[in-house]
Amino acid sequence: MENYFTTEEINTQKSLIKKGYFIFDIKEKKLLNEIRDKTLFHVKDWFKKRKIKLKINTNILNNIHKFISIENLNSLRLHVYNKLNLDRKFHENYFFIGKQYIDILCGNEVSMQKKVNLSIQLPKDDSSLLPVHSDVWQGDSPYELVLWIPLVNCAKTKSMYILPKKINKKFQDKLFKYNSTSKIFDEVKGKVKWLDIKYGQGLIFTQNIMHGNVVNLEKTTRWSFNCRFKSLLSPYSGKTIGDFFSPITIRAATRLGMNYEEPKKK
Amino acid sequence: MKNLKKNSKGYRGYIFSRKIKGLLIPQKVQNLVIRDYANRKKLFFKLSKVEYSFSGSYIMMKSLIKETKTLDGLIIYSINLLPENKSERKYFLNSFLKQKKKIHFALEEIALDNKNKIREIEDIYFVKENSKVI
Ligand SMILES: [Fe+2]
Repeated sequence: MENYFTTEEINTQKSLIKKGYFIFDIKEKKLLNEIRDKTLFHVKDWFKKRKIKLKINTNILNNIHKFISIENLNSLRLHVYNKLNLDRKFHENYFFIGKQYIDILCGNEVSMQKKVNLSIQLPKDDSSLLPVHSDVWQGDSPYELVLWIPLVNCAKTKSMYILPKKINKKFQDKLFKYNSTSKIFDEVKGKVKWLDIKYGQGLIFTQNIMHGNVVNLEKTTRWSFNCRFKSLLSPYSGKTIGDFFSPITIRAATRLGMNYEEPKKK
Repeated sequence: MKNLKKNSKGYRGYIFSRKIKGLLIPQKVQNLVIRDYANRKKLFFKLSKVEYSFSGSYIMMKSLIKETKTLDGLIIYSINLLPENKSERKYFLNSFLKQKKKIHFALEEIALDNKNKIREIEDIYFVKENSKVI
Protein backbone atom coordinates (compact mmCIF):
# COMPACT_ATOMS: atom_id res chain seq x y z
CA MET A 1 0.00 0.00 0.00
CA GLU A 2 1.46 3.34 -1.05
CA ASN A 3 1.14 6.50 0.97
CA TYR A 4 1.63 9.42 -1.34
CA PHE A 5 1.56 12.24 1.20
CA THR A 6 3.58 15.41 1.65
CA THR A 7 5.67 15.78 4.80
CA GLU A 8 3.09 18.14 6.29
CA GLU A 9 0.32 15.65 5.60
CA ILE A 10 2.29 12.82 7.16
CA ASN A 11 3.09 14.79 10.33
CA THR A 12 -0.45 16.12 10.80
CA GLN A 13 -1.97 12.69 10.37
CA LYS A 14 0.59 11.05 12.62
CA SER A 15 -0.33 13.45 15.39
CA LEU A 16 -4.06 12.69 15.13
CA ILE A 17 -3.56 8.96 14.89
CA LYS A 18 -1.04 8.83 17.74
CA LYS A 19 -2.73 11.18 20.21
CA GLY A 20 -6.31 11.41 18.97
CA TYR A 21 -6.06 15.17 18.58
CA PHE A 22 -4.21 17.89 16.73
CA ILE A 23 -3.81 21.51 17.84
CA PHE A 24 -2.95 24.18 15.26
CA ASP A 25 -2.39 27.92 15.04
CA ILE A 26 -5.17 29.58 13.08
CA LYS A 27 -3.72 31.41 10.10
CA GLU A 28 -6.98 33.09 9.13
CA LYS A 29 -7.06 35.38 12.18
CA LYS A 30 -9.41 37.75 10.37
CA LEU A 31 -12.08 35.04 10.06
CA LEU A 32 -11.70 34.10 13.71
CA ASN A 33 -11.98 37.73 14.83
CA GLU A 34 -15.10 38.09 12.68
CA ILE A 35 -16.65 35.13 14.52
CA ARG A 36 -15.72 36.62 17.88
CA ASP A 37 -17.13 40.03 16.90
CA LYS A 38 -20.40 38.46 15.74
CA THR A 39 -20.62 36.56 19.01
CA LEU A 40 -20.03 39.76 20.97
CA PHE A 41 -22.73 41.51 18.95
CA HIS A 42 -25.31 38.83 19.79
CA VAL A 43 -24.26 38.78 23.45
CA LYS A 44 -24.74 42.53 23.65
CA ASP A 45 -28.09 42.19 21.92
CA TRP A 46 -29.31 39.59 24.45
CA PHE A 47 -28.43 41.90 27.33
CA LYS A 48 -29.95 44.89 25.54
CA LYS A 49 -33.27 43.05 25.23
CA ARG A 50 -33.19 42.75 28.99
CA LYS A 51 -32.40 46.43 29.33
CA ILE A 52 -28.88 45.78 30.56
CA LYS A 53 -26.18 47.85 28.95
CA LEU A 54 -23.13 45.69 28.61
CA LYS A 55 -19.85 47.39 27.84
CA ILE A 56 -18.30 45.27 25.14
CA ASN A 57 -14.58 44.69 25.15
CA THR A 58 -12.47 41.70 24.21
CA ASN A 59 -12.35 40.47 27.77
CA ILE A 60 -16.09 40.47 28.34
CA LEU A 61 -16.46 36.83 27.28
CA ASN A 62 -13.95 35.72 29.92
CA ASN A 63 -15.86 37.72 32.51
CA ILE A 64 -19.46 37.10 31.46
CA HIS A 65 -20.16 35.25 34.74
CA LYS A 66 -20.04 38.62 36.46
CA PHE A 67 -23.11 39.70 34.49
CA ILE A 68 -25.27 36.59 34.19
CA SER A 69 -26.68 33.93 36.50
CA ILE A 70 -26.53 30.20 35.82
CA GLU A 71 -30.36 30.17 35.43
CA ASN A 72 -30.19 32.62 32.51
CA LEU A 73 -27.13 31.15 30.89
CA ASN A 74 -28.93 28.74 28.58
CA SER A 75 -31.14 31.50 27.26
CA LEU A 76 -28.06 33.56 26.35
CA ARG A 77 -26.37 30.50 24.86
CA LEU A 78 -29.38 29.62 22.72
CA HIS A 79 -29.76 33.21 21.55
CA VAL A 80 -26.16 33.41 20.35
CA TYR A 81 -26.25 29.86 18.95
CA ASN A 82 -29.44 30.45 16.96
CA LYS A 83 -28.35 33.81 15.59
CA LEU A 84 -24.92 32.57 14.55
CA ASN A 85 -26.30 29.44 12.95
CA LEU A 86 -28.65 31.47 10.76
CA ASP A 87 -25.60 33.17 9.32
CA ARG A 88 -24.03 31.37 6.34
CA LYS A 89 -20.89 33.48 6.55
CA PHE A 90 -20.34 32.24 10.10
CA HIS A 91 -20.46 28.63 8.87
CA GLU A 92 -18.16 29.42 6.00
CA ASN A 93 -15.65 31.18 8.26
CA TYR A 94 -15.75 28.27 10.68
CA PHE A 95 -14.88 25.83 7.93
CA PHE A 96 -12.16 27.98 6.38
CA ILE A 97 -10.47 28.39 9.76
CA GLY A 98 -9.81 24.65 9.83
CA LYS A 99 -9.94 23.85 6.12
CA GLN A 100 -6.21 23.30 5.67
CA TYR A 101 -6.21 20.54 8.28
CA ILE A 102 -9.69 19.17 7.61
CA ASP A 103 -8.52 18.62 4.03
CA ILE A 104 -5.53 16.68 5.30
CA LEU A 105 -7.33 14.72 8.01
CA CYS A 106 -10.81 14.08 6.56
CA GLY A 107 -10.37 14.54 2.85
CA ASN A 108 -10.98 17.34 0.44
CA GLU A 109 -14.64 16.55 -0.09
CA VAL A 110 -16.40 16.91 3.22
CA SER A 111 -19.73 17.25 4.91
CA MET A 112 -20.15 19.60 7.85
CA GLN A 113 -22.51 19.51 10.82
CA LYS A 114 -25.40 21.82 9.99
CA LYS A 115 -25.31 23.65 13.30
CA VAL A 116 -22.11 24.64 15.05
CA ASN A 117 -22.46 24.01 18.79
CA LEU A 118 -21.63 26.63 21.35
CA SER A 119 -20.52 25.83 24.86
CA ILE A 120 -20.31 28.43 27.64
CA GLN A 121 -18.97 27.30 30.97
CA LEU A 122 -19.13 29.68 33.86
CA PRO A 123 -16.75 29.11 36.76
CA LYS A 124 -18.23 26.63 39.27
CA ASP A 125 -21.27 25.91 37.05
CA ASP A 126 -22.21 22.23 37.20
CA SER A 127 -25.26 22.50 34.95
CA SER A 128 -23.60 21.91 31.59
CA LEU A 129 -21.19 19.08 32.20
CA LEU A 130 -20.20 16.42 29.72
CA PRO A 131 -19.20 13.32 31.68
CA VAL A 132 -16.52 11.14 30.12
CA HIS A 133 -17.88 9.67 26.88
CA SER A 134 -17.14 8.71 23.34
CA ASP A 135 -19.76 10.07 20.92
CA VAL A 136 -19.40 7.01 18.72
CA TRP A 137 -21.08 4.96 21.46
CA GLN A 138 -24.28 6.92 20.95
CA GLY A 139 -24.78 7.23 17.26
CA ASP A 140 -21.88 9.19 15.80
CA SER A 141 -19.89 7.63 13.00
CA PRO A 142 -16.29 6.73 13.91
CA TYR A 143 -15.30 8.53 10.69
CA GLU A 144 -16.19 11.97 12.09
CA LEU A 145 -13.75 14.55 13.45
CA VAL A 146 -14.56 17.55 15.63
CA LEU A 147 -13.20 21.02 14.99
CA TRP A 148 -13.16 22.80 18.37
CA ILE A 149 -12.45 26.52 18.45
CA PRO A 150 -12.33 28.60 21.64
CA LEU A 151 -13.03 32.33 21.84
CA VAL A 152 -10.98 32.62 25.03
CA ASN A 153 -7.80 30.98 26.24
CA CYS A 154 -8.67 27.55 27.65
CA ALA A 155 -6.56 25.44 29.96
CA LYS A 156 -7.01 22.99 32.84
CA THR A 157 -10.64 22.59 33.98
CA LYS A 158 -11.74 25.52 31.79
CA SER A 159 -10.87 23.36 28.79
CA MET A 160 -11.77 19.79 27.85
CA TYR A 161 -9.83 16.61 28.46
CA ILE A 162 -9.15 13.58 26.33
CA LEU A 163 -7.82 10.20 27.38
CA PRO A 164 -4.36 9.34 26.12
CA LYS A 165 -5.03 7.06 23.18
CA LYS A 166 -2.87 4.26 24.54
CA ILE A 167 -5.02 3.81 27.67
CA ASN A 168 -8.38 4.51 26.03
CA LYS A 169 -9.00 0.93 24.96
CA LYS A 170 -8.23 -0.54 28.37
CA PHE A 171 -10.64 1.80 30.13
CA GLN A 172 -13.44 1.82 27.58
CA ASP A 173 -13.66 -1.95 27.93
CA LYS A 174 -14.53 -1.43 31.59
CA LEU A 175 -17.85 0.08 30.56
CA PHE A 176 -19.48 -3.33 30.66
CA LYS A 177 -17.91 -4.20 34.00
CA TYR A 178 -18.99 -0.97 35.72
CA ASN A 179 -22.16 -0.22 33.75
CA SER A 180 -21.34 3.45 34.13
CA THR A 181 -18.84 5.97 32.90
CA SER A 182 -18.54 7.79 36.22
CA LYS A 183 -16.64 4.85 37.70
CA ILE A 184 -14.36 4.85 34.68
CA PHE A 185 -13.71 8.55 35.22
CA ASP A 186 -12.85 7.96 38.88
CA GLU A 187 -10.13 5.60 37.70
CA VAL A 188 -8.74 7.73 34.89
CA LYS A 189 -9.09 11.27 36.18
CA GLY A 190 -5.43 11.49 37.13
CA LYS A 191 -4.39 10.25 33.72
CA VAL A 192 -6.45 12.43 31.35
CA LYS A 193 -4.83 15.05 29.15
CA TRP A 194 -6.20 18.57 29.67
CA LEU A 195 -5.91 20.42 26.40
CA ASP A 196 -4.29 23.84 26.54
CA ILE A 197 -5.73 25.86 23.66
CA LYS A 198 -5.41 29.59 23.34
CA TYR A 199 -7.57 32.05 21.46
CA GLY A 200 -6.07 31.91 17.97
CA GLN A 201 -5.68 28.15 18.05
CA GLY A 202 -7.94 25.34 16.90
CA LEU A 203 -8.27 21.72 17.94
CA ILE A 204 -9.27 18.75 15.82
CA PHE A 205 -10.03 15.53 17.68
CA THR A 206 -11.61 12.13 17.19
CA GLN A 207 -14.72 11.21 19.15
CA ASN A 208 -13.61 7.57 19.13
CA ILE A 209 -11.53 8.34 22.21
CA MET A 210 -13.14 9.17 25.54
CA HIS A 211 -13.27 12.85 26.43
CA GLY A 212 -15.34 15.27 28.47
CA ASN A 213 -15.20 18.17 30.86
CA VAL A 214 -15.65 18.86 34.56
CA VAL A 215 -16.80 21.90 36.55
CA ASN A 216 -14.76 24.90 35.46
CA LEU A 217 -12.64 25.62 38.53
CA GLU A 218 -10.71 28.46 36.91
CA LYS A 219 -11.57 32.11 37.43
CA THR A 220 -12.88 32.90 33.96
CA THR A 221 -15.63 31.62 31.62
CA ARG A 222 -15.07 29.23 28.75
CA TRP A 223 -16.55 30.01 25.31
CA SER A 224 -15.93 27.39 22.68
CA PHE A 225 -17.51 26.16 19.48
CA ASN A 226 -17.50 22.60 18.20
CA CYS A 227 -18.55 21.20 14.89
CA ARG A 228 -18.24 17.80 13.27
CA PHE A 229 -16.74 17.15 9.85
CA LYS A 230 -16.35 13.96 7.87
CA SER A 231 -15.25 12.80 4.50
CA LEU A 232 -18.28 13.17 2.24
CA LEU A 233 -18.60 9.55 1.21
CA SER A 234 -17.27 7.81 4.33
CA PRO A 235 -19.79 5.75 6.35
CA TYR A 236 -22.52 7.63 8.22
CA SER A 237 -24.14 6.43 11.42
CA GLY A 238 -27.07 7.84 13.43
CA LYS A 239 -26.27 11.36 12.29
CA THR A 240 -26.99 11.34 8.62
CA ILE A 241 -26.55 13.56 5.62
CA GLY A 242 -29.41 16.01 5.26
CA ASP A 243 -30.67 15.89 8.81
CA PHE A 244 -27.41 16.50 10.64
CA PHE A 245 -24.66 16.94 8.05
CA SER A 246 -24.66 18.92 4.91
CA PRO A 247 -22.28 18.42 1.96
CA ILE A 248 -20.11 21.52 1.65
CA THR A 249 -17.38 20.59 -0.82
CA ILE A 250 -18.49 18.32 -3.63
CA ARG A 251 -15.81 18.51 -6.27
CA ALA A 252 -16.05 18.44 -10.05
CA ALA A 253 -15.16 14.78 -10.55
CA THR A 254 -17.85 13.68 -8.09
CA ARG A 255 -20.39 16.01 -9.73
CA LEU A 256 -19.52 14.57 -13.12
CA GLY A 257 -19.92 11.11 -11.66
CA MET A 258 -23.30 11.76 -10.12
CA ASN A 259 -24.61 13.33 -13.32
CA TYR A 260 -23.15 10.73 -15.66
CA GLU A 261 -25.57 9.19 -18.09
CA GLU A 262 -25.03 6.07 -20.15
CA PRO A 263 -25.77 6.12 -23.88
CA LYS A 264 -29.48 5.53 -24.36
CA LYS A 265 -31.28 3.82 -27.21
CA LYS A 266 -33.52 6.45 -28.85
CA MET B 1 -44.41 24.62 30.69
CA LYS B 2 -43.14 26.80 33.52
CA ASN B 3 -45.91 25.56 35.82
CA LEU B 4 -45.19 21.99 34.86
CA LYS B 5 -41.60 22.53 35.89
CA LYS B 6 -42.59 23.86 39.29
CA ASN B 7 -44.78 20.96 40.31
CA SER B 8 -42.78 18.12 38.88
CA LYS B 9 -39.44 16.38 39.06
CA GLY B 10 -39.89 15.56 35.42
CA TYR B 11 -39.89 12.59 33.11
CA ARG B 12 -36.63 11.45 31.59
CA GLY B 13 -36.74 10.45 27.93
CA TYR B 14 -35.05 7.27 26.72
CA ILE B 15 -34.10 6.63 23.11
CA PHE B 16 -31.90 4.29 21.06
CA SER B 17 -28.81 5.06 19.00
CA ARG B 18 -28.83 1.60 17.40
CA LYS B 19 -31.37 0.07 15.08
CA ILE B 20 -34.81 -0.65 16.48
CA LYS B 21 -36.18 -3.87 15.02
CA GLY B 22 -33.97 -3.45 11.98
CA LEU B 23 -34.72 0.24 11.41
CA LEU B 24 -32.54 3.20 12.29
CA ILE B 25 -34.95 5.83 13.58
CA PRO B 26 -33.19 9.21 13.78
CA GLN B 27 -32.76 10.37 17.39
CA LYS B 28 -34.41 13.61 16.36
CA VAL B 29 -37.55 11.70 15.37
CA GLN B 30 -37.59 9.60 18.55
CA ASN B 31 -37.29 12.79 20.60
CA LEU B 32 -40.04 14.48 18.59
CA VAL B 33 -42.43 11.63 19.33
CA ILE B 34 -41.54 11.83 23.03
CA ARG B 35 -41.84 15.62 23.13
CA ASP B 36 -45.20 15.57 21.38
CA TYR B 37 -46.50 12.91 23.78
CA ALA B 38 -45.20 14.85 26.80
CA ASN B 39 -46.85 18.05 25.60
CA ARG B 40 -50.19 16.39 25.03
CA LYS B 41 -50.12 14.62 28.40
CA LYS B 42 -48.75 17.72 30.10
CA LEU B 43 -45.66 15.96 31.38
CA PHE B 44 -42.47 17.87 32.06
CA PHE B 45 -39.96 16.25 29.74
CA LYS B 46 -36.29 16.16 30.67
CA LEU B 47 -33.66 15.54 28.01
CA SER B 48 -33.43 11.95 26.80
CA LYS B 49 -30.77 9.46 27.72
CA VAL B 50 -29.39 7.82 24.62
CA GLU B 51 -28.68 4.08 24.90
CA TYR B 52 -25.27 2.97 23.66
CA SER B 53 -25.15 1.63 20.14
CA PHE B 54 -23.40 -1.68 20.90
CA SER B 55 -25.82 -4.52 20.46
CA GLY B 56 -27.41 -5.80 23.63
CA SER B 57 -26.34 -2.79 25.72
CA TYR B 58 -28.81 -1.55 28.32
CA ILE B 59 -26.22 0.37 30.30
CA MET B 60 -28.12 3.66 30.06
CA MET B 61 -31.37 1.92 31.01
CA LYS B 62 -29.67 0.53 34.11
CA SER B 63 -28.34 3.96 34.97
CA LEU B 64 -31.93 5.25 34.88
CA ILE B 65 -32.87 2.90 37.68
CA LYS B 66 -30.31 4.69 39.84
CA GLU B 67 -31.74 8.05 38.83
CA THR B 68 -35.33 7.08 39.71
CA LYS B 69 -35.55 9.06 42.92
CA THR B 70 -34.95 12.33 41.15
CA LEU B 71 -37.68 11.68 38.56
CA ASP B 72 -41.44 11.27 38.28
CA GLY B 73 -40.87 8.61 35.69
CA LEU B 74 -39.74 7.82 32.20
CA ILE B 75 -40.91 8.37 28.68
CA ILE B 76 -39.50 5.60 26.51
CA TYR B 77 -39.76 6.08 22.76
CA SER B 78 -41.38 2.66 22.18
CA ILE B 79 -42.07 -0.70 23.76
CA ASN B 80 -39.59 -2.05 21.19
CA LEU B 81 -36.76 -0.51 23.20
CA LEU B 82 -37.28 -2.86 26.14
CA PRO B 83 -34.66 -5.61 26.59
CA GLU B 84 -35.24 -8.74 24.55
CA ASN B 85 -34.55 -10.92 27.56
CA LYS B 86 -37.84 -11.39 29.41
CA SER B 87 -36.44 -11.40 32.93
CA GLU B 88 -34.30 -8.34 32.23
CA ARG B 89 -37.38 -6.61 30.85
CA LYS B 90 -39.45 -7.44 33.90
CA TYR B 91 -36.67 -6.46 36.27
CA PHE B 92 -36.44 -3.07 34.64
CA LEU B 93 -40.18 -2.39 34.67
CA ASN B 94 -40.58 -3.62 38.25
CA SER B 95 -37.67 -1.53 39.50
CA PHE B 96 -39.55 1.57 38.45
CA LEU B 97 -42.99 0.49 39.60
CA LYS B 98 -41.66 -0.48 43.02
CA GLN B 99 -40.64 3.11 43.53
CA LYS B 100 -44.06 4.29 42.41
CA LYS B 101 -42.78 5.82 39.20
CA LYS B 102 -44.60 5.81 35.89
CA ILE B 103 -43.23 4.57 32.60
CA HIS B 104 -44.76 5.98 29.45
CA PHE B 105 -44.27 4.52 25.99
CA ALA B 106 -44.64 7.43 23.63
CA LEU B 107 -45.17 5.68 20.31
CA GLU B 108 -47.82 3.30 21.66
CA GLU B 109 -49.23 5.97 24.02
CA ILE B 110 -49.35 3.54 26.91
CA ALA B 111 -48.66 4.48 30.50
CA LEU B 112 -47.51 1.84 32.94
CA ASP B 113 -48.37 2.67 36.52
CA ASN B 114 -49.14 -0.67 38.14
CA LYS B 115 -48.03 -4.29 38.00
CA ASN B 116 -51.18 -5.51 36.29
CA LYS B 117 -50.39 -3.43 33.28
CA ILE B 118 -47.10 -5.23 32.75
CA ARG B 119 -49.10 -8.01 31.15
CA GLU B 120 -50.48 -5.62 28.55
CA ILE B 121 -46.94 -4.47 27.74
CA GLU B 122 -45.76 -8.10 27.57
CA ASP B 123 -48.61 -9.02 25.21
CA ILE B 124 -47.78 -6.19 22.85
CA TYR B 125 -44.07 -6.98 23.08
CA PHE B 126 -44.73 -10.63 22.26
CA VAL B 127 -46.85 -9.84 19.22
CA LYS B 128 -44.40 -7.23 17.93
CA GLU B 129 -41.62 -9.74 18.30
CA ASN B 130 -43.35 -12.65 16.67
CA SER B 131 -45.57 -11.23 13.98
CA LYS B 132 -44.57 -10.31 10.48
CA VAL B 133 -44.93 -6.81 9.10
CA ILE B 134 -46.00 -6.88 5.48
FE1 LIG C 1 -18.20 14.44 22.71
